[in-house]
Amino acid sequence: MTEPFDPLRSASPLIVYIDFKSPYAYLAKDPTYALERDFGIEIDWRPLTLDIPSYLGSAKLGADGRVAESNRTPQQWSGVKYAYKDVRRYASLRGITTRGTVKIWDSSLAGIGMEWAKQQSRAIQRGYIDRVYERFWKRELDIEDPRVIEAVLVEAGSDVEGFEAYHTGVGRARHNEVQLRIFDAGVFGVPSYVIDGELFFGREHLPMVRWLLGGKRGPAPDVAYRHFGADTTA
Amino acid sequence: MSEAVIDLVGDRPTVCIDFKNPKAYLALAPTFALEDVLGLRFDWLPVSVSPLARPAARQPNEDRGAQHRRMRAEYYERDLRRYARVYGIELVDLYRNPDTSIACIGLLFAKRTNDGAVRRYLRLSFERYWNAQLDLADVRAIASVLDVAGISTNGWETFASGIGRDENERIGRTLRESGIFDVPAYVVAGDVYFGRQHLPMIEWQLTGRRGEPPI
Repeated sequence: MTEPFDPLRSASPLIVYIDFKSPYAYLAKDPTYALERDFGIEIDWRPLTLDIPSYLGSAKLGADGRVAESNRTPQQWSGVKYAYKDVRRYASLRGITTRGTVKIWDSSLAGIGMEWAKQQSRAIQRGYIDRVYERFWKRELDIEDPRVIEAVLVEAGSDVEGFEAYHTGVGRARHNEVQLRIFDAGVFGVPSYVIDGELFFGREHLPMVRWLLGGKRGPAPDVAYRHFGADTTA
Repeated sequence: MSEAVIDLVGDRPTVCIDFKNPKAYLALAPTFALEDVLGLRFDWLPVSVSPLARPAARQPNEDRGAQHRRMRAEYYERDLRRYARVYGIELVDLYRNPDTSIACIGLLFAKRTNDGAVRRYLRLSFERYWNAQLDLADVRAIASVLDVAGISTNGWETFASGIGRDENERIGRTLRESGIFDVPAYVVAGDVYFGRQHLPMIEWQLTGRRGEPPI
């Protein structure tokens, strides 16, 4: 470890965990950037590499687009199908492409690339995150290929000298250790927001995160972006 | 009395609820508020879904999947409780799994007898159940709720043991076969949304999709 790491604490007022293979985290990205702009803060963006098969089962599509292998229960399939439909209806309204996937990707390398970019600068990290999300969800990016990730880093303005040694050495070791600590701290999904040590899972909590960042002015909000007051008469 | 019609593709939005589910309880106030904003009444339907999963005790050497399920369940409990506080609600045991059928039949009876009192029936039923003051399977207890809500109970017991029971079973079966596996479920012109976090999207959809879409 090159620096102390606490899964629930940071020098920044807000930690945000994302995974490039999560379309929900992709949908949350821009609304979360808005927090940086509106509050003048620097968010601590961190990769969380989901182990999807451990909680949602796994499946693989064949060349014909049909399910070739699966160990998912009917309930898990219902949840997964609904989730993709839900993502697409929100994504389409914002012009975001989220194409279907044929397998569960290993996004750890892309997460290590994100950490590398972070060491360069915040602007480089943001450029990297934007490029990886957009292209990966258009199925134009193989996030398991080190040369592809390195090329995105270069595009984002990053120096990549030493990246190969990093992602195969200290960067990989740090990723693997940190991922265990994040999970053991109770952060299990993305996007996750951590503010003052409190965890919020999902972009529907952004109003609450805003309320907390803004000093808890006014009544606490419910989930989502429009507060429907609690005071309704029969 | 004629059979209740289930129309999941029409113009009137449907809300599917389960009295034993705290997410449905927390959705009541904001859903009522959206009804008021829109100036319409949603079609409230009862459905019985799986109870919330109680977090398993931490085990030595639990595998990653078990740890994930435990942590997720623990998180959801914390999340429900913190948002309940937004509404001034203190939730009792989240994981009870009672027979809710009579309360469901009560909702159907309220809709037939006095549609204007459905909101009061829903509020009273949820409040009393979540204050541990209501047996959702007790015909007389539900009759009391109907009465307090301003709904005449003439014919209630006959309905509850006959046509109401059949209707409740048919509605629940139809909804589950239509893919309703969680609550609250909102069905708007055939689109299903699980969770009150979608109320802004539902409002946007029902008001001509004007302005920036919800995120």
